[in-house]
Amino acid sequence: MKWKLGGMALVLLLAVLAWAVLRMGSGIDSAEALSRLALNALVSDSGQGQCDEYNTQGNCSAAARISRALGLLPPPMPAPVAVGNALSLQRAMESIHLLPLAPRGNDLKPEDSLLVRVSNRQMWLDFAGKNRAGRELKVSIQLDSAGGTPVKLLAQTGSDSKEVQLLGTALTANDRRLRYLVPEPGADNPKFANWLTMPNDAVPKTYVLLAIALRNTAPEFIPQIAQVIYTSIAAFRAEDTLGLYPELRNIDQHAAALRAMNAAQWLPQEQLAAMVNAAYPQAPAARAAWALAICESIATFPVIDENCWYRLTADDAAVNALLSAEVVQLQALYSPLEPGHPLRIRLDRLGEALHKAALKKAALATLPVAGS
Amino acid sequence: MRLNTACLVIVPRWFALSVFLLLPIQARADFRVEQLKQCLQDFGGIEWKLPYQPPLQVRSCASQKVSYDTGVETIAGRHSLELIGSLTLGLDKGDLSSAEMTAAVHNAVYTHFDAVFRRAGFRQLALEYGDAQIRRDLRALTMLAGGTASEEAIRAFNLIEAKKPPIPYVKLARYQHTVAGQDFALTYKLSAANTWLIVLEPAAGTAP
Repeated sequence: MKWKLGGMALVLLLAVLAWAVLRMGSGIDSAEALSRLALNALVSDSGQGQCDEYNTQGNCSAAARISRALGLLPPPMPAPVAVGNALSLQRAMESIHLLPLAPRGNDLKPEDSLLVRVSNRQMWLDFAGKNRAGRELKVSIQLDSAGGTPVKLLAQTGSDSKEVQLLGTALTANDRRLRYLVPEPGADNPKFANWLTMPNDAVPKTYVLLAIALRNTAPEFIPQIAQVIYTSIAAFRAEDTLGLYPELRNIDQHAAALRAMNAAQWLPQEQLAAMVNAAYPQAPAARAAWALAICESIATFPVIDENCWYRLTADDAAVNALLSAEVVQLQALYSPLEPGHPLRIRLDRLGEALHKAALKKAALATLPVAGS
Repeated sequence: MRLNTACLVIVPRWFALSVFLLLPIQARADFRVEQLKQCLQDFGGIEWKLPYQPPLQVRSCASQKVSYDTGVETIAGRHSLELIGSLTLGLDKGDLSSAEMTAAVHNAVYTHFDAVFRRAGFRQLALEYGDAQIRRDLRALTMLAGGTASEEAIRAFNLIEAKKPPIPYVKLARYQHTVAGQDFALTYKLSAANTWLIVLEPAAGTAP
């Protein structure tokens, strides 16, 4: 009986050893296994403390490496998995011998620029390696433009794939506001993605710097960034929330900031108009600011391009109503000023543009429809 | 199990750090905004609006109860509001000289606040004008240039400059308003090139 038990124990031990040897031989052989390994490396490298209770980045990455070497799989993690920021991903993947598919060479780009693959307006960082059997392993990490935040991991081994949602860390500027990762324009893929810092009224030439950066941004990423920029300039000072200023002053101010960033050149006019209408369906003040930024020139004295203004605002009853009411109210307020006063001229010109657009719309509405 | 526990520990730590860093800034901003709101609400029943142009900001606001960015307590019954802004109308000055533009800015500010005060029931008592005209002094110009000019030339030049028409702007306006039998005096004045001060206090001879 004693010998029987001993024999069974020996058989069991041999079976476990054989299983371990087999596992070591094949290495990572499924997308599930690859995703667990990659997540463990990302979590370890992020310094989030999931490796051990006294972890340092060094020993945690080492633990991830040992895990892979021994073929020991880390346990699954509940999604979304908290990981580090976009700049920490490469180091984490390299710790498990997955290298960037598109490594940076000798380029003149900023040090923190990233080479990303852009697909359907999504940015991905791709890493690849091989298991012991020579099978291709690929891990792709999707980055959100806001903060360059890692949001999704896709592990692939052949046709097998596994997706895991990530809760990455966003990169912020010194003023703690989010930085935005945007790819450069052009057909190349992968392509460089650079970081944008939102305007800050305490930073000299903040608009000029952003305007230069936006000239080097893929057009498909402009709509999102344009909205973020608008939100950013509309909330410079907490005091602005008290409603102390006439609405037209806020609209003018936002329009001036957008103009200073060359907003009219960010996209073709039709695309800009479509973006504005889609982004601010309930905010006529925002639509009015964009329309003024695009159509009003301030090269000399402010001049409104009537055709541009008509195209952008003729069908927008809310914008027309808002601006007309503001203009009428302010014209009455400033009527004691002499007729040539710059404020009166500016208000008169805006009122005139609104009036002409309304007349043109009315005239077009009375034209007989062709064929009727 | 270990990882699950770790997740519970880690996410709050990460979250707590963000909250720790961001909350004080937000709380401070909210407190300041609330102070300003209270100060303006407590200011003679005036429905405050700042001008369309030039772009002005509240530099300080003080009442007996609230002090927004002043650092000092105000005397009983006295309210003061200090505004600061650039001497532009956010518009190109067109054909206007810089002196005319300066007057245009000051008059735009005055016109705005005159309407605000009248709407609140204040009656204008007095106006004082400033002159934005720039009159050059040939003696000073020649001294700066390191040259010389005859006394006669200086006199003739300065006479022409003195004859330049004034470019008037309102630099001070006084108002009065009676509330529940008590008179309040309101003074609007240009306190520096780009700073405006509005003071409300019990009129002289009335108890605070």
